Amino acid sequence: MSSTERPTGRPSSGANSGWRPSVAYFRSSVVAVVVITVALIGRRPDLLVIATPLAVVTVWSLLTRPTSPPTLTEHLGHSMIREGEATTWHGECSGVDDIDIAVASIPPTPWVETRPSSGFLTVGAVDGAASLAIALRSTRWGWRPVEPVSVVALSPWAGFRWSTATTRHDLTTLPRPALFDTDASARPADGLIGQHRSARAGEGNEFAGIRPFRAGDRMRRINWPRSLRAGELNVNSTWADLDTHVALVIDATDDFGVSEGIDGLASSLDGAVRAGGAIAEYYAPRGDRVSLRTFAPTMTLSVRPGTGRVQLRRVLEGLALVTPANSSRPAYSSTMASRRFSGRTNGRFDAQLVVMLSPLISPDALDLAVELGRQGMVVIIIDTLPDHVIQDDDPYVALAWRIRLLERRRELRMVMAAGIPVVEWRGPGSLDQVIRDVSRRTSGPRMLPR
Amino acid sequence: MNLAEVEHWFDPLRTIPAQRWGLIAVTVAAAVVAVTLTGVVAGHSNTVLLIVVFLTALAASARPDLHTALLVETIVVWHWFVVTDDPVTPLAVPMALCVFVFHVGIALMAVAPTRAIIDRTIIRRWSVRSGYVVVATVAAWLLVVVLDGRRAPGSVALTFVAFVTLTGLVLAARLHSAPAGADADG
Repeated sequence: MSSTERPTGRPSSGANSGWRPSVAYFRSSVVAVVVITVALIGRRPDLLVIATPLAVVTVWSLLTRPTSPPTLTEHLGHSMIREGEATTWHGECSGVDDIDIAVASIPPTPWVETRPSSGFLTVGAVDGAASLAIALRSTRWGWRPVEPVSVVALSPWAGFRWSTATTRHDLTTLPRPALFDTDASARPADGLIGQHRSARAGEGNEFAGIRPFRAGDRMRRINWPRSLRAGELNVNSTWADLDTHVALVIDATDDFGVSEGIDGLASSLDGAVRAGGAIAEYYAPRGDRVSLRTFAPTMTLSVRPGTGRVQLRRVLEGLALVTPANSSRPAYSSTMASRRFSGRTNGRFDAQLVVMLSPLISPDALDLAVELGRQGMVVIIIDTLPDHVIQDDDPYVALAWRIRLLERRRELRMVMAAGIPVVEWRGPGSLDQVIRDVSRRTSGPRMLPR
Repeated sequence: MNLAEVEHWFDPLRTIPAQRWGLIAVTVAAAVVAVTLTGVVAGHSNTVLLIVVFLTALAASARPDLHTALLVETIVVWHWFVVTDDPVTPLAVPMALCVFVFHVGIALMAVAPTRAIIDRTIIRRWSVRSGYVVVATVAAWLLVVVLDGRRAPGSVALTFVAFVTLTGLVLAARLHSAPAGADADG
């Protein structure tokens, strides 16, 4: 568990019933009464002996029957966790002395593991109180509610039962970012803040070299030892300190491949979200601005640019809300997604570095990347299509994937020919080379289409 | 139907914990032993009935929340009533305990779904309680033997004891019964 537990217990507001006789009670009472009656009528004392255990159970059940419903107080330990982490649902069933057993059952939820693994917990009550705790481990990012937990309390011999259901709890699972690090500096920005040096010389702290004094240079930049040796004034030149606006663009038009959670195979959207989280976790705490946008035919999601750990949290929460669009949409629906994306950005997209994470199956993503590149932005595409996507039991599906991947290879060549690099996500250093190339290219004169 | 389909059909059985299998085994065995005991007392066994009870007990174990177990108990007790004629046979005690074990086993299984593991403290607690029930059963049999040994005329005392028991049940039911509308829904 990653954070402290919130004492937000509240009585269950789900529908509950009073104490009701169980099938076991009905069975024992019927058999006891009928057999004793037959024993009397038939003068069979041996039947009385046979009926004795069930008669005792029936009377015991009746004498210990609870008269008032118990109180259930329940809460979920954390409403927000990371992939692979766990939280606990707690329930306290109390208020009635004759509670014997409490049973809690939680419906299965995709990508949520429970302990007990069956999702059912039985607890023997002590002094009229039963404490229930079911551990929940989320194995995939996303927003998934914890379905109402059914709680049943039973009297001795399970003669009478009381049941209720809790309310639904929200549980958001933030993606666990993949490892990411880079030595390369992104493209220079207009501002003079941040921790990355510019590709251009300017005011800053990073030493760039020594050059002859020019009009306008500050006096404190003069390198006196060098000036004495050279016989003319020389100054230390520096690289400008800059911030970078890294715009993460997630292609949520579809989700390809199998997702087995944090412990298994990753789908294309898993890869995109975790890689996006890793990039945000690298840049945001370092003073760079990071923003997030998704594009899909049905819904777009946006997190404004910002910096710092609060922004990182915002981005991760935004990533947790990414959902793939309905795959039943018409294939190749022109540039619906990119138009929608452009509409949300009012045709402007102020970013120094656009990192698009996409499986590159839909042409929308490629169209959008080319469009952003034509606007003069530095666009890097991270290919998130998993390798296992072509492994299908159906040979025809596998063949169709192979054909589609051949087409995709041709489309990628066209995109790369337009100056947009496409790289595979390999964790730390994935973007080093491509960022260096881009930075070198953008430090020179550029031509923008008008 | 190929082997994979058969395996798929048995997949749900693999999720059943060993504890549940143990409870099923004990419960079904109790029903079968009860029928066998009846055969021993009667001097002849009924194989067809044994199979019927076995299958019905198995069905009751599979769905303990249904009234199938009531059918099993009815068959077992009815069989005893029909084929035995010794009112003080000591085998009435194990017979009673078999019926009791069957009843308690089914009740315990009905507490939680099939894949649940019942807490050991619950089983221990029920075992202790069962000890009291065993003592009461043995006491009842001793009472019957004593009454039979004294040859009470017309079994008046026996009738009285049974009547008191029945009356006690009814009174307890009246004192602790649920408001109108409560039914046995399990």
